[in-house]
Amino acid sequence: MLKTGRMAIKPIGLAVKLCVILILFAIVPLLFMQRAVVELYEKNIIKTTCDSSLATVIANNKALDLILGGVETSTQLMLGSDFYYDIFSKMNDFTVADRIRYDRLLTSEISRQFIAQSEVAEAYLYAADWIYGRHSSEITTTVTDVQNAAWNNIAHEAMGLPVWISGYDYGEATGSEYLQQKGDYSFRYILTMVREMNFQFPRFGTYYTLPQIEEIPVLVVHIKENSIRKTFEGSIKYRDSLYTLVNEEGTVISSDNEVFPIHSQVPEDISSFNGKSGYCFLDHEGRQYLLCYDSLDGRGFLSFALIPMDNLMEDAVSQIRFVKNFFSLLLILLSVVVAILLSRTMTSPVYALVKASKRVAGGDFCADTPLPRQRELRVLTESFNQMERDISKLIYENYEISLREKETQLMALSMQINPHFLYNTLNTINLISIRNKDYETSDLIVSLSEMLQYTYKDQTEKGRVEDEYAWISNYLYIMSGRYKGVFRSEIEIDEDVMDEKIPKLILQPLAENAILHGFRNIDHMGVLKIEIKKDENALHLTVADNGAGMTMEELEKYKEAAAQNGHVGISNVHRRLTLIYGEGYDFDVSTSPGIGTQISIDLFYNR
Amino acid sequence: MKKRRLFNIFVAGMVIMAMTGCSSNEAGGSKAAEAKGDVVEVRFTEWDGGDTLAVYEEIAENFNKTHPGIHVTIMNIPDEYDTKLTTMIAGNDTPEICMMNSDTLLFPLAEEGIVLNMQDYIAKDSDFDVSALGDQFKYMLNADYMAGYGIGSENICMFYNPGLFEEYGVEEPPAKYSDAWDWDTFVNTAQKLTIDKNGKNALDPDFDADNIDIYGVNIQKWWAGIMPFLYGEGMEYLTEDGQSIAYASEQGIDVLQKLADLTYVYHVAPTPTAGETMPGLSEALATNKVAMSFDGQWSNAGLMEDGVEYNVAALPRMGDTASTVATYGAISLMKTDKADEAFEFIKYLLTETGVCAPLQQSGLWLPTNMKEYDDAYMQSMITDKHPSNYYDAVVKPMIDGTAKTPVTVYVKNFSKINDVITPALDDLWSGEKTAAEVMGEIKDEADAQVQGFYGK
Repeated sequence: MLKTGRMAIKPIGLAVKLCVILILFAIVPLLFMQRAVVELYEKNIIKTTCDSSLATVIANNKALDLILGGVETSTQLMLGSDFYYDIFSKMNDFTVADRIRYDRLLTSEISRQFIAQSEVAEAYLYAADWIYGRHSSEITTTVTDVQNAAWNNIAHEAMGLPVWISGYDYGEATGSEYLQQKGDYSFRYILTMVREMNFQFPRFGTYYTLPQIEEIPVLVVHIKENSIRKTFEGSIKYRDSLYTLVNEEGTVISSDNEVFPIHSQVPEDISSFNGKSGYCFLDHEGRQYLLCYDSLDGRGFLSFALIPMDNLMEDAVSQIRFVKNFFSLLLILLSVVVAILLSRTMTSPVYALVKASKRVAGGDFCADTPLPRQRELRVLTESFNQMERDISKLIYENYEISLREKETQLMALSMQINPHFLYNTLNTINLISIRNKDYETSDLIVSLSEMLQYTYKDQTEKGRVEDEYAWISNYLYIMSGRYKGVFRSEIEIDEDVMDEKIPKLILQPLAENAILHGFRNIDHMGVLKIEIKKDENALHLTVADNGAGMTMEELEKYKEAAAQNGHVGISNVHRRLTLIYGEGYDFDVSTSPGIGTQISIDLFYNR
Repeated sequence: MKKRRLFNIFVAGMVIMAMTGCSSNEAGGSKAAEAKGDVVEVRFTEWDGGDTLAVYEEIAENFNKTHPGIHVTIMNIPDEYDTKLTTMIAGNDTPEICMMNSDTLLFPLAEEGIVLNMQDYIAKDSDFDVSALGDQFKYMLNADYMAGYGIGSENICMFYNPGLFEEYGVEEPPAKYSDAWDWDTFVNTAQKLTIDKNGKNALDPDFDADNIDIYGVNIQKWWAGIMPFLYGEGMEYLTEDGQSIAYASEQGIDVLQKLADLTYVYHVAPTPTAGETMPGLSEALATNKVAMSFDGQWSNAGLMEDGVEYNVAALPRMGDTASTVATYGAISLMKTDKADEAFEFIKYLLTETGVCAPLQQSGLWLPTNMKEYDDAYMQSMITDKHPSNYYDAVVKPMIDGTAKTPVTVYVKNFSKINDVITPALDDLWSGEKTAAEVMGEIKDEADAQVQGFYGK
């Protein structure tokens, strides 16, 4: 099981793995943090919402109280008004014409009384089978209606205190079959205030009270339910929240919902909060609600708002969810980007190394793999390059050693020619030359003989400078015989370098070059200057001529030829020096057309 | 390398886009608000609530849609209209357009120049279709000064309960004014339909006038309920010379007395005391409390909406000619900086055909746009819910001139005269005095207020 799992993971690329890891690292803590934050937040929101919703309910109640209080104040002012007193104190003597007249007078006066209270839909005074001041074109009220609803009796019983009649059905209360049948009319549910109006006021030290009259007038004020509803409708913004106003009996006075229709009874567990203010959590018809309630003290009204808990959190939760999703997405995107970038810094040097090893396998040791910036992989690449260089060196050295062995073998073979035969022959020629008094030839033969002797003397790579000096002197003597009047030689060798060792015959090809090429076609006396000096670091060999010299192009061409054809003098010198000293020498050519060529060789002691 | 940078830029771009998402919305909002600044706000005050208000708002909305530079808002003042309007004017906050009570504020404000002469604006505007205006609807302060124009014409007619006519075997009243009952026929019919608690009608010698279950008729006691009969006797509100009230003329006294007699002689109309128990027209007709009622045509809206079984008929005549009277409010252009824009709305309301169609279809209004007094148009305003006699008893009188211009349009100082007459008539309606006595008492006082006619 574990094995198959590992097998499945293996083929997944580094980028994907990194991606998954990064995403997990980004998302998991985020989720944990979010969970923790949300929980904290929820608690906070619930508390805040409870407080603010309750504050709203209280504020609504205040507004409602202000409206109802305003109506009461207006009626209070009416009570103490001499205008009404003057009319109703004469009520016992009213003729029908008086009633009509006062009715008209009061119609405009009462509506003016409530001019500031736009919620008041109708207000009138009822007294002794007559309604004064009716002005609404909407609410139709007759004397019979007032009597059927017993508003006059209710008011008389309260002895002048305002009584609010609420949560009732107008048609039912007034016994109007027509309205009950009609069912839907604008004033079906109204809030009614009735008050016995025992008009009285003081004037000039006398306190005037209504005389014994047929019936003390009763003021009836109607406020339509929708005016009440306006004070709270839409104040709680949460979806499906229910706002309801109930009276002492738990009858709904005003409501913005179908759950608690007006004129219906609210459950005991809600109406029991009447007289209190606060909030609690409530289960209603299987749904969890926040219940905010506040009572209208003195009127026995209770306002309450039910806010579904799920909707309460809805806004905040959806906001959190948005933020969460946004950041999750952002983190995932960033993770992917980072993973891609990160994996690329890892894989691209690895790929470069893979490519390099393929190249190495093909025999190319150029060791040019670019170094990545990253430290570990840089070290790896560097050592890979170093390995290439080492392998390349090893191969080269092995190859060269085998070559040198072959050369030495060849040399050894050539040594097998009997030198004595050559010496005897040369001696014979010398003797004949002396006999013929040809001393020049004799000298030449002696020089050649000495040269051959030095050459065949032993088979070591290096010879003493002193021997080398002798040899090159002989050589130059022979060459000067041939190129008479073309050049002269100057050889400067410090005394203290005479015992130093330099590669055998190293100077000859250079001198030959100068004579054959440098002094060709020159119109002045050529000077070949050979110097050997030493300092603390190296032995310095210089072969200089004042011959034709070379332009830069000619030098380049010459170098090219030397590289292609191993038999060119210089390249032979070069090869030998490399074989013997490796990198422990410097070889420098400086030339200038018309001035000459100087070849310097520095042989370092320790390199 | 380049690719990577591009990708980074892409990510950054997405974040920035997401961040700027909301801010660009805000920018849009403020732009809209700026554009709104160019719109001229025009207020239109009126007193009708309910369905009428809803239709006014609909009219304003339609107007605002087609007139992008002007925004009309309806300002509803249900109570104490005149008081609130004067307060606004005094507070230098005059609404741009007002409905006006022609019997109270209209002409005094026109005299002050607060109500502008609409004639000037009509003359200025070459597009204004003057064929839409009818002379009878113009409120002329004098021959040149048009202080307002009537909208929402409503006339007085008879509503009756066909069920009661059928039950008591009485012939239903005629629909056309040309066939209108004479007064005696009317009184006789009302008597047959006035039933006491014993089921006896008012013609019965044993009729119990103190315990009446069904009244034959309910009348209107304000000027619009009296004028149709005065016209029938060949009189106007003032005598022909414009010097004296016609109520106090021989014909006027006759009319008033005949109306009062319906209650106290024939017992076919409720006394004021009994009136206190009389419910609204709908309920009264529907619950068989009354057989016939003289009332404003606007009552059709409520009756139709309530689905009451009823019909309309021509008012009976007292003299030779059957007449009725139209009533309507005046729409006036007020003196404000925005009068030009406000006039655009008035023009729209007065001259565009069908603007007020919903109010006409509901039975509430009759047109005051003369172009709408077209048979085809009017028939299209009469729905299945309208009573069968609607055209003959309500619409036709407006076309043929049977419905007279309201007295408030042309009688100078009307409300002062009315303030003298109305309380005096209380004694007549209460049965305490005769018409001759009442008018004798107040004729001089009322005549003192008479100032003749406007626009003449």
